[in-house]
Amino acid sequence: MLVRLVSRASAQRLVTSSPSRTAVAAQLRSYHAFDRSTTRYIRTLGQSQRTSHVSAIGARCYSSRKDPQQSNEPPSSAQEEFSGPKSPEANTTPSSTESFAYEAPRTSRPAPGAPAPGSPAEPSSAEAEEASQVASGQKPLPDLRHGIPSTFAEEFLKQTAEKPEKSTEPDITEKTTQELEEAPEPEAKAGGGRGDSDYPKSAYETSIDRRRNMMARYMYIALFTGATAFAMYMGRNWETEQEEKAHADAPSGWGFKLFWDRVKVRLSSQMVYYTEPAFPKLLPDVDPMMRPPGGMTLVISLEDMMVHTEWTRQNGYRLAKRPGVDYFLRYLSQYYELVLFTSVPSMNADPIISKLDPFRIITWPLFREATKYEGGDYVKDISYLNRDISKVIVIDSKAGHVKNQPENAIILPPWKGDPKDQDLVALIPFLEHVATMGITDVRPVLASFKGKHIPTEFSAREARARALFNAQLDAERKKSSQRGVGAFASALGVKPAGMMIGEESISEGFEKGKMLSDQIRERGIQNYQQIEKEIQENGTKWLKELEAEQKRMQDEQVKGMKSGLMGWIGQGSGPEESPKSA
Amino acid sequence: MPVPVGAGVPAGHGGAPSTFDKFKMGAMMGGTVGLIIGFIFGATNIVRYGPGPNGMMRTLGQYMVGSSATFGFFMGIGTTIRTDGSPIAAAAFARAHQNPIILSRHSRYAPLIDQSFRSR
Amino acid sequence: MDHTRDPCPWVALNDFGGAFCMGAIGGAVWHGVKGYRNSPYGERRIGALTAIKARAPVLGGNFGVWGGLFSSYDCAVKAVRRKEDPWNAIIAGFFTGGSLAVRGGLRQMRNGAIGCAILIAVIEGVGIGFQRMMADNTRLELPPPPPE
Repeated sequence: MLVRLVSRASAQRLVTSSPSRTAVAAQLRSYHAFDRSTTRYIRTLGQSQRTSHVSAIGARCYSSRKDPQQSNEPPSSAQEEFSGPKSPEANTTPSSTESFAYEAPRTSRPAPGAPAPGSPAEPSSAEAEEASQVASGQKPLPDLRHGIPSTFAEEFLKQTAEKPEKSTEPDITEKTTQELEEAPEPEAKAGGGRGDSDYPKSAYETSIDRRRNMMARYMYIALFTGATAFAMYMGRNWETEQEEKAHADAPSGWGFKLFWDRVKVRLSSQMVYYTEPAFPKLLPDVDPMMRPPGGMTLVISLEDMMVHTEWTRQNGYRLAKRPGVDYFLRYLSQYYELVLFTSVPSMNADPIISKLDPFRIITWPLFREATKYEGGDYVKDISYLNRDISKVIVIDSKAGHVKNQPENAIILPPWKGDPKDQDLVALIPFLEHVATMGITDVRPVLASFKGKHIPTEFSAREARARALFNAQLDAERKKSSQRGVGAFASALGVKPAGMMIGEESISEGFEKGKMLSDQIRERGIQNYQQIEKEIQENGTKWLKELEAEQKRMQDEQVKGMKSGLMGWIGQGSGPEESPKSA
Repeated sequence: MPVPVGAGVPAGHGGAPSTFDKFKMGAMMGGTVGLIIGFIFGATNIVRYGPGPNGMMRTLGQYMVGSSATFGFFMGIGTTIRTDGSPIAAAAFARAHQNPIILSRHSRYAPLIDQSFRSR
Repeated sequence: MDHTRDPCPWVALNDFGGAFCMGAIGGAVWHGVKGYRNSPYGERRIGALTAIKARAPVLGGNFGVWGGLFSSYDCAVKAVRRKEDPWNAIIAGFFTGGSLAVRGGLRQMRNGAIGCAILIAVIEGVGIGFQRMMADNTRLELPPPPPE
């Protein structure tokens, strides 16, 4: 706006000195052209260099005046302006009174305007000069005698405020503005607010840039095609009949959903290494010598079943042992092969289990490495156990852990440290019954107890059976009191041959009113008491032997490892063996 | 292997690994992590900004080895200063092969279980 | 149940402190060497000490902030999802990376978040891989037959 006002004002002044219209128009055009060029040119200058260039520009302003007759100096001087005193009449109106946003010296303008009418010839000659300059293609130089025109508006009031990149500074002491204008300007790249860059962006790309871009483009294309090809390959139809059957839920065929299913199945099979149990057979094969008769296996979990961890700020982590755990384990070790199956990693659970069960009453410990990771749950999959599934009972506190074989599982509520809890011990009669009564498949048995509290239900059933048994016994007694064979035999002191439980035969037990389960229970309790006695007597001795054996194994291992490939990694401390065992 | 005998194994399997062993373990894990991270970031940078002045393999290798060294160094220090039974130390402990020594029921508990009961 | 780490709210303090120590000690070594090498002869030890005094706590602070933030986000994500799996850590890493780059604007946040999430994913993956490799040690075998 101010630019326009100034130009109009100066045009007025020029008009008053009656130039031709075309000259004025030419001059105005040159002002605008100069406007743009000057702003661009000034913007390329650094701040520090502006002042020094003002004088250079000013000098050039004067030196470009080609009219030597305007001054009175002797023509032999190199610079007419400075050779000799001048008179005010020698002052010329500046050819360009454009000062872009500059207003203050307006007041002083009338002063130079005074000589202006005094030398009407000069403005016209100046114009003629200007016109000749314009005609010859030279742009008029900026008038910087009144300060550097501000380029604030151009720089900051347009939208992109990106600073021009600092490329190499043009060396303006050598070049004129014209040459500078024509040189490629670095800010043509930056921002879109100006629309007047001289060169398109592609002119600034070097050959290296172009090669790099091409390489990047090819790589992207290759990546994309590779990914697509991989996806197609992963989603191909099943090749063999076997595979087709194995993945019945993602059959062959066209269609996006089927394709996606196949891709998912194939990809997830890659992750099998991490999600499946570490070994396909978790337990060693059955050794008949090692297990109690009946061939039953009881799988029990650790956390919230046998122990409970608790954290407080004062005491940190503490473990509570469920009441009756020892009794439970030792009693049932006569009937079952006990297996511990936890979802705690082995390095965390091993210290716990070694403290809980130092005599290894639980024969086999299995940890998180043996579980299957399915859908966020660590699933204890019984089919990997290498045991007959119909003879395995699992006791767990979380249904999610046994979701692959829920029919083998007894789910107890998680134990949270309550010292009066009796759930675990209350299961003993039921478990004893299942193990000893010749049951071949536990699953129907467990199914019959589904949804009920097992101890109460079992005792109710047992009471009914007992009533039945007593009724039968009474009936038989009435019958047999009429015969005398059994009485005769016992009178002779001959014990009838037949099966025995311990010291007395079963039939004798029946006579006494004990059901078979009662007799077994009695025998079991006796066994348990013997176990307890043995442990109490020999417990410490056994523990010491265990420690010694472990230490021996460790020593063997250390020797083995030293000579192995790992030896090169460990140049650490000497083999100080601390005999702290598990 | 003509390697002078050094403890290739954490001293006293099941006992506390020494400081250097802990550092070694942490450095191994950190080194692995750094290698993979270096590969990922190196590949990303190469794809975005082109290979460096020395070529793709050299740049990628630089990224990988540099990251693995850095990560390994810091992880090693991180495991060294842990004294509360760090999982790395526990992992070394777990390497003490967990063959449970089963108290053979046959030898221990046989007298407890009546043979006649067994013959049922 | 990992007995080496406190349960959730307090573990952030542990992690912050641990990370700070890691950064401080690592930074002391790193900047000590750097300061030693970048000082003139005759002033190398002092140069190393000065560099350590100036820079190691800064590095420790950076690490500590990272670790504390990560642990807090981890606890938060665990509370929201009510599950314990590696995804908790990855999401926490995503948020951590984003939080640390907030000053750079949205694009930097996105890049930082993705980078940090990838880093944590790699760490978790390597951890799981190690666990799986060590799992072979838990194989159960029949003990040798008793001597009698």
